[in-house]
Amino acid sequence: MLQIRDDLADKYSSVYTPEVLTTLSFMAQYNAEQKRLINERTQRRLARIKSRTPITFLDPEVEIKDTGIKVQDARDGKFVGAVIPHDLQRQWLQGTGPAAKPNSPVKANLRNVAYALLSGADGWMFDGEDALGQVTTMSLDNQVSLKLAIARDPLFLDVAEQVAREMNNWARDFFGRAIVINWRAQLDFTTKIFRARGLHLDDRHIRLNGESLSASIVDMTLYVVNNHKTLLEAGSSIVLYLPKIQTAEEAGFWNRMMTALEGHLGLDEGTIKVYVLVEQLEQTFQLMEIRAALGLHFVGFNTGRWRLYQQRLRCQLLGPGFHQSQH
Amino acid sequence: MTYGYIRNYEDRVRRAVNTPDANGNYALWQGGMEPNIPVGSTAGVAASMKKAKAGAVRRDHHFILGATNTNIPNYKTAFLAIMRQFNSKGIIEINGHLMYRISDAAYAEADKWLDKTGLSTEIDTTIKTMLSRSTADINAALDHAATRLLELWQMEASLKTYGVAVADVMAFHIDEGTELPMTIEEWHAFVENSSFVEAREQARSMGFSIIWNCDIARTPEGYYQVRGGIPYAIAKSLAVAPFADIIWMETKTADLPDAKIFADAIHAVYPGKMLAYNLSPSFNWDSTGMSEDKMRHRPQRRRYARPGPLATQAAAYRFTFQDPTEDNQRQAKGMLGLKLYDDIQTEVGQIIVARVNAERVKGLVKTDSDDLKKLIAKG
Repeated sequence: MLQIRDDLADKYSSVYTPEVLTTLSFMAQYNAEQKRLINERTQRRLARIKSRTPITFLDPEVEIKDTGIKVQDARDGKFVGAVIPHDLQRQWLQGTGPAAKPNSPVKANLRNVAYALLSGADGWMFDGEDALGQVTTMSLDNQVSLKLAIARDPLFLDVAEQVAREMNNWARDFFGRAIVINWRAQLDFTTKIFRARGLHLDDRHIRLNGESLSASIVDMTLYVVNNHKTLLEAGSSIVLYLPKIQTAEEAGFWNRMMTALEGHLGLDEGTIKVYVLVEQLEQTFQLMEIRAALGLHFVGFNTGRWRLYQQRLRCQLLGPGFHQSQH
Repeated sequence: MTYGYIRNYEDRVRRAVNTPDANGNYALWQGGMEPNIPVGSTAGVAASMKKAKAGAVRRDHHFILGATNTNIPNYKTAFLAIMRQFNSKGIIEINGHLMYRISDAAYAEADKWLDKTGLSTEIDTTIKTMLSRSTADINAALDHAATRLLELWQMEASLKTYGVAVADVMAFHIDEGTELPMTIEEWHAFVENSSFVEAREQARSMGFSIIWNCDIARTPEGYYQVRGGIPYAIAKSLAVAPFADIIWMETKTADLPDAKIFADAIHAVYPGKMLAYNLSPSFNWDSTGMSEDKMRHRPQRRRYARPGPLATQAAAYRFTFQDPTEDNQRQAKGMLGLKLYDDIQTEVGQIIVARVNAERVKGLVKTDSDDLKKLIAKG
């Protein structure tokens, strides 16, 4: 039983649609497992820090937990992975930023999306996590913006036309020429990618039988359910950025959730594609296993946001043999 | 226990995406490791820094500054002598010079020069007028003396690039009526497109074996002094342009004319090259506390220009600006307001130093840590 706090179900009915709520109820079956995995993560790390045990590779003979894939097979490429879809084959330039701003009206939020899609970047990662200030209902404002923009709602098109005009005015002064030649065509150029919140976070608006509900489940469900039809009709891929994954077991959990979601929506397995952020030391000991565990969903790793602070801390915990330059 | 250099992690990512799956499909790799934060063994870090510096010297020689008057203590010794003076005049918190081995004779020579230029007396006055012995005030005093040293030293050493040094001598001879094989303009063009050795050979062939020493201008950390600025940024960017998808300019304060000069210079050689500009990694302009309206007005007030309120990490074609210091100042003040900091100070105009209120932090995390303890006990 899902409970949405205050009047948000009404206020955000455009993203809390009946289809979304039904799907969320279905996906809620994964909530207990998310809680278990996070508890295990915390305990594992604490135990490791306490005993100063270094991180090691997985035993090649064991199975990656709950995936049915043997570690050695994963390393040898004995699994079926994804084919890179056409709109992810060229991603030389990728931008990132959220689709909402704190306490801003819809139109102001849509300007973010318009700038992103008119920027000329090959892809844009619309952030539902770190770069999105998680104040009040920003996670929902973000979803509202994305849904309007992806559906090419007239409201969004008005904003995009205005933004294109402003960009050109500025560019004529700066470069001596306009930079957005055909704003409508330009809007289709950039591949849209969405970063869902990691397994460590819970959503602040919905509860499940009084308990907190995983933010990963909420973000993924809202984005995919609200946008899958429009994206697929436009010939675009449904792409997620998965942050904060630390083990192949966690990757396998994401994989099961995505397969279930696809099944529920009548989509083929592997319709959703994911990038996995590499941002954590333990993760670098299980990379091939993570790729295998995500099977048909996995398209690639992103290492652009190496988590320096965590690395630093970890280095210090590992004793005097490990140095970090101050330069 | 030593984990590998970050290259090892890179290799793992590379192998993980370049291994074919059962159908012969590969995966993608986006982004790179942060290249400017070397991690690893002491030797590994030292080696990579050395390589990076050597690369910089090769690329930057047109901009390296050298002394044309070498009858002067070297910059490093003069700098350390200033620290030593502060220390011996009672400011014992300043002791960085102790990390270097400089002979008494070298210090004596440097002190003599500092006396002659009046800097020793200035240091005495600075110490007397210090408001307090706080870290901030001590650093401000040292910073002031260091700035004065740089001015005086650069003037006396007659610090210039090799190209300018030779051009000055050429101008002198041309004034005297000497016929030279090339004009000063031709010389500048030649220098820009040649190595240091070639330039020196050319100067010698014209009969100019000038005094020009860039080593005595090196900083205590060993860095060469360079003629920084937009031309320097342009030269470095043009050098990497053939290998780059986008050229990214980042400056501390926003200045549209600078950005325009930079963009025009890159586009003159590489038309249509994608450019980006940013001042801060902050994504969300509004989270800095500025209203849309304020942001719209800020450009005129500060002669900044920005096309709109979106601050994004990468913005092809577009230029966005933000003043990171203000942002950080505001955050620090917020922490002060929450009593997480007892005190904040800005040092050298750039670094915010805060005294953390440990009790307050403990109080705030108590609930969480109690929960965590329970959780661990359960497990």
